[in-house]
Amino acid sequence: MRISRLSCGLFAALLLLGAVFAGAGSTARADEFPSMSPQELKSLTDSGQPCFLLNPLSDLEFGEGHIPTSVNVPLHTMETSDLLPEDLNTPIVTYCLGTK
Amino acid sequence: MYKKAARVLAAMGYTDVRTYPEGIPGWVGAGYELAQRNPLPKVDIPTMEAGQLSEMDGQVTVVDIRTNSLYEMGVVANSITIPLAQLTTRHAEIPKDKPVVVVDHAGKQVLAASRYLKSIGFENVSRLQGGLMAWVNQGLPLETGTHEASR
Repeated sequence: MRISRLSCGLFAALLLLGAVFAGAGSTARADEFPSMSPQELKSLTDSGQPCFLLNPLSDLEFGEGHIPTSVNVPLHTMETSDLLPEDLNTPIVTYCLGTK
Repeated sequence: MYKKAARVLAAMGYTDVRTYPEGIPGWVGAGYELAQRNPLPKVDIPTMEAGQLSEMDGQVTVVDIRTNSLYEMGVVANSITIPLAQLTTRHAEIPKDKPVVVVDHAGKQVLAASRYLKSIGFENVSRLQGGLMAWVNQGLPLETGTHEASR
């Protein structure tokens, strides 16, 4: 019983390791930041809690449609922008045109 | 791009960085409203196939709106490179005496860029269908691009 449990665990570990290697090219860093669903984001923006919603697209794309309350700081201007929060502990959520 | 932005923020020292990967399509899909700011007139912009564009040699100005880093992949001959994020400040670099064909990486950003050029007086504007991905997939040649310094 104990052995079979052990081998089962080993098998699972190997599977996991395989999955990690298989995804290493594109998705290994997918979880480096916590991600939110549309519903979670909506409740956050509706809640009034301090949160900076960042749209890093170009000014033209931002104009065509953006999530209400979000702020446009194009990617290449981020490091020099004075639009970002001064407090480094402010929660910031980034979004764009989606992953597809 | 949301992921790149999150990495920049983390590198700048922000401690609580999150992402919303589904982006605008996910927001609209969930039934929520978008806001607009000076939206561009919804004019139709004709598309051009990669093969057609390759035969236009010199008759059109190709405006390549990819991000700076992608220019290293190579550019279509006689291109002007102006990243989309800089188009509103650098459009004066585009000659007005020839038809313009706007190209991007995969054909997703050319519509907004083309509509903008129309709105500021470029009369003959079309967009490359499928972007330079389609161009490369058809085996069409690219010239050496340079990593242009950000302006």
